[in-house]
Amino acid sequence: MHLSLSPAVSIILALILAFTASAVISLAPEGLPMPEQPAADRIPALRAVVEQALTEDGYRFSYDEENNSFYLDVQLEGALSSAYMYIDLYQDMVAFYCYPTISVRAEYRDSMAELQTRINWDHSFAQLQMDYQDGRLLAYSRIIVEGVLPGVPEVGAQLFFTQNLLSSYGDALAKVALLGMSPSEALPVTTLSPARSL
Amino acid sequence: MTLRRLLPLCLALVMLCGAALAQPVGNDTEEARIAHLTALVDHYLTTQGYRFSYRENPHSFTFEVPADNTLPPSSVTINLSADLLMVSAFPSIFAAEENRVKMAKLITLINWDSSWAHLYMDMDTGQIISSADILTLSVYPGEEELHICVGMVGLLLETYGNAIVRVALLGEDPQAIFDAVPRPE
Repeated sequence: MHLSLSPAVSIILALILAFTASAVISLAPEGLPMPEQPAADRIPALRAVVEQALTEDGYRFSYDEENNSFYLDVQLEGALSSAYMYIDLYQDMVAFYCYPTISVRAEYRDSMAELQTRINWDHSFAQLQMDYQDGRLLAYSRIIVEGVLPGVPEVGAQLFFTQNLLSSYGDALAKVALLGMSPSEALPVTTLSPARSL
Repeated sequence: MTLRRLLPLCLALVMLCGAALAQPVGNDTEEARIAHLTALVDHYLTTQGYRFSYRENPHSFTFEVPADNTLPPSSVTINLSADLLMVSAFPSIFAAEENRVKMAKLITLINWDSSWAHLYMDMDTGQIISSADILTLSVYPGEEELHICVGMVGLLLETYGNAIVRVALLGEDPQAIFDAVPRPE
């Protein structure tokens, strides 16, 4: 069989094969930087991983194709019984946004900032945040996606961490956000270790 | 085989490799995971030209980075465990006790705007850190992920270092200070 290719097509083919080879080589060494790669669309792969994690955990969700964003309602334990969640897919990140259905009155936002600062000090993986402009509360986490695609366990863990933060501290968040209780009164005594200390 | 058939085959192979970049943790033992992460961090810091120290208990790398603003130099630690890699920068200042509520507001304003790394403060001591972490449950991170963590932890202190000093030490208004900070593009 004789395969005849034009020069332009040969160059394209050579480039594709060269990139294929570099991608295969990048799988082999441990701890070495991966070669520069052309910008590939990672969204389909990320979408598949997140969908699998959500399905395995029994969530009902929808997906916005235009914005590459998942939406789901979640049930929480504690004073904040429910929340809604967006999982946004980017080429370099998967971002988890879990919003409880309460917001912080303007006069209590300084107290909420102190409460969140106290809570966040003791936690990794997810943080409590607040929009000072409108008092929206948020539990946030993210997975960096630069050279490595995350696995289903990483996605499942971030889902858990964001929701667990709101479940664990829902009572304190509600007491400060709605009643204006002081952070030290609202926050239950914990035995958390100062994990962030140098 | 015609070219029309060959090209999709190559493209499919490229996509397959692109989606398989992750190196799975698999059945690696805890010791093997830590050894893998230790080699990753060691190689990264060496190639980046950092002078660092390493200790085994707990597994952590430490190096110092100068500040590009009024913050004093920061000590950066990279802590490792079998399922976690955490990068934390400790600027050697502590918020004065009377300024910690203001600092909490500044940190809240900053963190709302930050996606990659975040600021934290110990309300009891006033210690401030910038931190980012990576979970390693099923796949090992690459040096790109580590580079983002180290870079973003530093960028946060670089961007907001002057603001932190003015609120933590001088007690200035956090909202006004935050609003005046020029943000990176």
